[in-house]
Amino acid sequence: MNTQYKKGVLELCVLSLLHEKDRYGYEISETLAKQIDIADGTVYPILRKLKSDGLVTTYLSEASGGPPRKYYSLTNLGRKTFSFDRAEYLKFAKTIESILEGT
Amino acid sequence: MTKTEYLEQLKGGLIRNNVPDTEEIVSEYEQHFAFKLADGFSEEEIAAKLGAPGEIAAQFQGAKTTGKKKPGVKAVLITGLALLGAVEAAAYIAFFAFVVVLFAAAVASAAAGVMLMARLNIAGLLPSMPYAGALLLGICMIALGVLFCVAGVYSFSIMRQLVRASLRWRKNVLGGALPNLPSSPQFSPKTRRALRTLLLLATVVFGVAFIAGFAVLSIQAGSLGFWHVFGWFVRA
Repeated sequence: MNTQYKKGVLELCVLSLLHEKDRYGYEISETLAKQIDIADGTVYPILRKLKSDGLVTTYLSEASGGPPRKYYSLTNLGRKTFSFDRAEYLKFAKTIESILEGT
Repeated sequence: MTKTEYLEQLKGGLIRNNVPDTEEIVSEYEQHFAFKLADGFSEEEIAAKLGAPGEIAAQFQGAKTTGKKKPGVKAVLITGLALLGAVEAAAYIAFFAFVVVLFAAAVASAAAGVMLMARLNIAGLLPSMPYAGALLLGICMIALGVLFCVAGVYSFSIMRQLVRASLRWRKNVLGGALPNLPSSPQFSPKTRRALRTLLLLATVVFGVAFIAGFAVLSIQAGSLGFWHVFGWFVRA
């Protein structure tokens, strides 16, 4: 699938995963890579961008055995952005679908 | 490509692209290797699945970089912001004085109301009038105090939000990446409802008590200009 399509929606997917619960970087990367064909490394730049946009914050949490994990968590702004972008995307996708199926 | 090679190349790419917090980014990829190695993948497999380090480094460029302005530009900006800040500060001080006045008016009105209702004519401040009228005017004054208080709370939060929005904006001009704040006061829906109810209630009570007080005093004095009858505004 065209990588340009994926890039735009990956951010929304990451927000969606974080909307469910706080997760650490690797967890997000693995969850997405399992379902979408993307290079494993592309999720980290997205996380950084979301952080610099103020949509997510990070905190360190001890894991049993191993170094502390950096967890990502949605900010208030992140939650608002997610629900807005999600609605917008779903509407957009519906329109495209109806066009492509020629109804 | 081994883990060490991959991380080296990634770091080199990040530095070339002027991406801030290089160490932090590299350590995130280091952790990725650690997790994958624990799952039994080889370093080569992991590196291949991650994507070319050069490409990954380029993707970090999209994120806003902080503090990349030239020092000269920054000095001019700081001077400009300082000058603007002085003007703003003067305006905020005047605004703050206004807020203080509002609260003082609230306290004074409420105190006058209590004095009227409790027949406490401290230092002969109150004009003489029959108690029925004084009671109604006292309620009216207390409602006025509440109105002033609501106005004070609202003005204060306008001022606070303006100061905060202005500070955030300054940070962003100097290279911050946080979203700008709205300049209108941000109350929670609950607070907003409470303020609105209070405002409405106080306005109604004020109006009703004022009209009733005026009517009662006029009737008792037998004159619409009851203050002449009771001898108000006349120096003893």
